[in-house]
Amino acid sequence: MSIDVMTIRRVSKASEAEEVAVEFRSEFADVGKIVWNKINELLRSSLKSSGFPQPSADSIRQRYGEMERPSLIVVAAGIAVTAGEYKERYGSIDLEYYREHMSPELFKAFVRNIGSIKGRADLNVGDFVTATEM
Amino acid sequence: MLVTLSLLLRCNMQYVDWAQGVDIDSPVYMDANILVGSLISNHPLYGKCIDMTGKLLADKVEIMLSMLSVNESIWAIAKLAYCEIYKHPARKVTWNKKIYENQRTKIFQSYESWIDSVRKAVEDWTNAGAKIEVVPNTRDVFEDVLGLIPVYMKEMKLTTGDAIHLALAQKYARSFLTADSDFEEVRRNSPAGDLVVIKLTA
Repeated sequence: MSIDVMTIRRVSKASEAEEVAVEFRSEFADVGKIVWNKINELLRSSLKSSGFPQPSADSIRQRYGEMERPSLIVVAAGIAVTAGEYKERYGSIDLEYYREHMSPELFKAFVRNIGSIKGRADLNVGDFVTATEM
Repeated sequence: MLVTLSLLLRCNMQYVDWAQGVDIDSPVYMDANILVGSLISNHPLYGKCIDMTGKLLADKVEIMLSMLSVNESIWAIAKLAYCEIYKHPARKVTWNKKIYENQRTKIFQSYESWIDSVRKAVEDWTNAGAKIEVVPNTRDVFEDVLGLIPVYMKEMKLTTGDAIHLALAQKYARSFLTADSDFEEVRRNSPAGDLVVIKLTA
């Protein structure tokens, strides 16, 4: 899964529009954390200056608990996956060999696409048919 | 004398089983099953398909694809998506145009990214410097390919699709990578040509 995904999570319920709190963060933690924290800070300060009080991070944690943050493994620059996905897609592959023998761009394109489908293991790839009109 | 020389120079296709260290001469024609096998992470052939595909990309080998390969790949992935939706065992499921038409909306609702995965992989690899070409790309060779299709259908006992793959491989490539056992006939009844069919087995 690519890390180039961002989400907006509402971490505090709006009550008659008196308080709206949002946290703007990447889908996965730790990657570009500084940037995301900066965006989050800007967004929150903007909302605050517009009259929407922002709860502190501590109070959000107390009310909603820590959000689950899966640990990620960086496969190539900009590509990080969970440990489970890493094992499934890259566990049996000598990535170091390909890293050494491919340009960084090609290696990135290679690992981004291989095993991108988590399909059923029993598809008979040896015998494809094309009779789409039958 | 000329006839004798011609006979001496005539060679036949070879058929070898894939193993680490087997030479793959460029250009390579890639069957749909190798392409799809490189995209499905939990398939038994996944590791070997990656060995093949990774080696081709790392060695900057010229890779030949055809629209037939693309068609077969996407069709197989659509079947896989259908099986995933209904938790059907893929080996036993009936898959045809009628089922596809009935299930198309659901397939695209949940698995559009799968259907697009072939395009994405080919585009990504090409943009990153891989040499991937679509064949047939010239009219004169295309006519040769057309001429070989009925010959392979008859003599090699192949379906139309497989005969097209073999003809394209023979005309455009030095190596033909496949996981399809229907090409076993090449081992038993090797036709003329300098192609090496490299068969991947589980």
